[in-house]
Amino acid sequence: MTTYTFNVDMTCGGCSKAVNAVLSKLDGVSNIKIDLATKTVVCDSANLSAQDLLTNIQKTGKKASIVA
Amino acid sequence: HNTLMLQIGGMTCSSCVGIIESIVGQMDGVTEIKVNLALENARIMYDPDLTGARNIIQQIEDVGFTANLPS
Ligand SMILES: [Cu+2]
Ligand SMILES: [Cu+2]
Repeated sequence: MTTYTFNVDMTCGGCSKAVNAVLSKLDGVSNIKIDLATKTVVCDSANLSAQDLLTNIQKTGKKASIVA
Repeated sequence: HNTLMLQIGGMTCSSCVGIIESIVGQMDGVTEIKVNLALENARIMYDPDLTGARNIIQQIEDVGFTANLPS
């Protein structure tokens, strides 16, 4: 299990809900934590890479980058 | 091409509009989507051979908004 951190350009509750929904739908993603104020998204995954997760987050149309 | 009108719930700002336009715009068979924040609706053009209202509504609900056919 690896913990990944992303910076996602979220501006409102709709954005954070959308990012949360997209990640929740993925198999093998857990512990999703989203902080709107710091635009930070943290989650755990055993089978997906940071790049896979980033690609899914970007489906929401939000600017996003891998922090760690 | 078919045109679908949907009532959208849960949008609070223009970036919510962007989310819906982005997520639906990437679907196979969707050729155009225009979301109106003030009227809380979306106008979607799609190819009925490739997708349908049910798929489009599902996709919108998957990102945390509500979508309904106008009554
Ligand atoms: Cu937002
Ligand atoms: Cu918004």
